[in-house]
Order: sequence, then structure tokens, then C-alpha cells
Amino acid sequence: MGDRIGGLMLAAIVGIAGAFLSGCAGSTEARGLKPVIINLGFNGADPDLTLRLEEGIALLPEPPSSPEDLAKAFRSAVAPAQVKFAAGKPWAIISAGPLLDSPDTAQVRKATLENHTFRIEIAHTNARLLGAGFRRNQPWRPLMKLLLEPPLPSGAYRVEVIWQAVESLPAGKDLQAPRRLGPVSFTVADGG
Amino acid sequence: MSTNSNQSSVSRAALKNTFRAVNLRWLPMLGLLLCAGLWQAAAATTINVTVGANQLGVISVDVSGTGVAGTFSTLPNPPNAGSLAAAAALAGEDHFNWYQIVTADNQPPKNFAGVQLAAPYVDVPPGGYAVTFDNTWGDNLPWYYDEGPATPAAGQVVKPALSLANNTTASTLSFGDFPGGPNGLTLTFKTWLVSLNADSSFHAFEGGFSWGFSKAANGTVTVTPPVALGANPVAAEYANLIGGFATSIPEPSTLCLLALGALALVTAARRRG
Repeated sequence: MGDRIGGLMLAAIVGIAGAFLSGCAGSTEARGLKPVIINLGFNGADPDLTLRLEEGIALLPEPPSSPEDLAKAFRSAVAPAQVKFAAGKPWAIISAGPLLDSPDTAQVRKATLENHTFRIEIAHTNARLLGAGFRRNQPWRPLMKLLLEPPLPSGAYRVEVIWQAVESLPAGKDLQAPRRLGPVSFTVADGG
Repeated sequence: MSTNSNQSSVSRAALKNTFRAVNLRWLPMLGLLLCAGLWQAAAATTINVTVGANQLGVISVDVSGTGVAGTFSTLPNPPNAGSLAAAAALAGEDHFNWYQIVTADNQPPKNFAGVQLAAPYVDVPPGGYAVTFDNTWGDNLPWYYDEGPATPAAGQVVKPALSLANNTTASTLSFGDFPGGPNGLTLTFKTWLVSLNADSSFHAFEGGFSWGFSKAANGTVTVTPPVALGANPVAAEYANLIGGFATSIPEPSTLCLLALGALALVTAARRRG
């Protein structure tokens, strides 16, 4: 009886460990994704950069550090077919989100890399949807930046970014259907 | 007056006789003029900012999306040499900001203290608006961009994007306002460039513009393009409105004196106790 219980316990432990390792496959691949939100503020000298930047996803080599330069690089980015990492030259996945108002904030809700698919979920408030009023208000646009740190196993990858308007952060209820951007595909070349 | 009237009638008579010929002869020119007129209508409003014989720079504002955006830019040539600081020094000032009032508002909000606002009022009121209306903190100075120390109250958030520092480059001061609210909202604004002393106290108005915003019952937004204002604000637009604001940012030495004073008062009270 004792042996049987011991055997069952061992099987359970092995099962749980197996399930745990299997579940970790994605996060092992992800190696701790750290997407960040960058505030593309408003500049009266170039309002269109913020107001008319198209929502989407792009891959940029050596992403500029200033929000304005990043947005300009994003605006002129062409989706690369192949990504090849060079020493000291990081690539980044950039996603431009919706135009927001002064009181709004945004934060990354979840980021995973599973089966060669990057999936990043961002939650943001939307005071306008809640019927807020504004007198002094400067719009801004959140930019999500995820640095791809080599080595990344070679192969085809997909990127999906989801922007979800919520009542409040961090755990307010969803306000409307999310804006799903992508999937965008790219390939990491051998030696990438 | 009578001369003008005569001239006008003569012109009309002449036009009656020659309109067809003139029209045909000057048709291309007329087209050009029309295009120029339309171009002018679509162009940004520009206001030269001068102090005495010196031009400090140019205000350029225009409708942008559902709001108004623009800049005050200094001239690239000496004595300003493209520097806001040099332009300010030229006029015996320290820096620039904007002063904006809401001149009409059919859905006026409350200020942070819970007092119902009525146009004209300063945008932003001291401390900001009622949190339930807009939880963005505002400083206690009457200027559009925050430059005082951040002291948000419970429920308020400080937005660095609305600080003066984040809207200033070496040569430009940015401006942007994109109001909003429920359908049926109608707003008009007057906005002036204001030059300030080092402690953020008022120095002078440097030119301004008026503009409007409306949101129809169906949600369609219309922005009335900026028009240059010919005059500084009258008492009802400035002096009578800024009573609840701080007039300057206390210097560190002043703050130290205040702290020492408070400490002395506390000590005295304890001794009495």
C-alpha cells in the first residue's frame, strides 16, 4: 500500500514537473521579455509626428533612444524579411499604439514568446471613452519597444501586439474590443 | 467718407462696363489670386513678437487635427541667434510661457477646490480641475505649462508632458491644446505668449491669438482657426482672474525662511504648552 502511494506520489511529482517544464518552454524561449512603453509626446513644431503616426508594428535595427527619433524611424520603417544580428547592434520590435490624451497611461500587461510567436499585450486607459472633459490637453502616443537580444534561435517568427483600453490601471475592466496589430513575420538568419 | 463712397460708385460703374473684358483678360491672374487667398486661408497664423526695435521671434499656430498647435520660435540671426534665452535676455526677461483663458464654455467644469467655473477663467485653474473632470495636476501659477514644484493632491497625476521644460527647446516654445468633452460642447479661447522673470512672476504679454472648439450633437469636431489678437488682455481677462494664483515661485532662500519661521512657531507653541 505504502509502495503504491509512494509510486503515485512519484508519478504525480514527475507529472507536475513535466507539465511545469513544458509550460516553461515558452518562457525559456522568451528569456524574460522586457517590453517598455515610451511616451511619444506632443511637439507643436511637428504635431503630425504624434497625431498621424500610423498604428502598427515594425522591426528596427539600432532603435534610437529619443521618442521622436524612434517615431521617425518607425514611420519610415520597412518590414524586413530577414533579421541578422550583428555584435552591438540590437534589433527591436516597435509598435505604435492609439492616440491618447493627457490623463491617460499605458503599461505592458503580458509579454510572451511561444512557438516563435511574440505576443505583447498592452493595457491603456482612455479617458475620452469614459466621457472625460479636457480643457488643457496634449495628445500623446504610446510606443512599445521590445529589444531582441541575441542569440535568438534562427527561424521564422511572428509578432502580435494587442492594445486594450481599460477603465483603470492596473486591473480595470476592458472598455471595448482590443486593437490587434499584426501578425508581422520576420526570419532570424543563421548566426542571428 | 463721401470720397470713398464716390470712388466706390465710380468703380462699380466702371466694372459694369468693363467686367466681361476684364474678367477674360485677368482670368488667369484672378485664378492665381484666388489660389493665393485659399493658400493664405490654409496657412498658419503668424504673429511677430517684438520689443522696441528688436524682433524676439515669431508665433506660428494653426489647426491641427482636433486642436491647435504651434510654436514661438526665435529668429536664427543675432542678437537672438536662435536662442529663447537670448531672446528673453534681450527683453530683460528670463523665459516664456503661455497664458490661456477660456472665454466661452457652455459646459464649464469645476476647479480643483470644487468651485464651479464660469467663463472667462484661466486654463488651468490653480491646482488643476476637479479630479472627476480631469485628474491632471496643475501648478499654482496662472501659466499654461507647469513650472512650479509638483505638489499633486490625492487622486491627481502629474503629467511631465505638460511641464514647461518638456515643451521648450533651445529655440522654440511649443503650444498644443486638444480640448474635448461631451457632444454639444462649445469653447472659445484666448492664448497669449507671456514673458516671465526668473521666479516665474509676470513680466509682459508678447502677443496672442483666439481660437475655438466645438463638438456637434453628432460628435463632429470643428476647430475655429487661430486669429491674431491685437491687444493684451483687459482686466476682465487677466487682472480680475488671477487672484487665486501664486504670483511667483518662492526662491529656496525664501522657502528656508518660511521653514525656519514655522519651526520657531512650533517651538514657541510647545513651550507655551
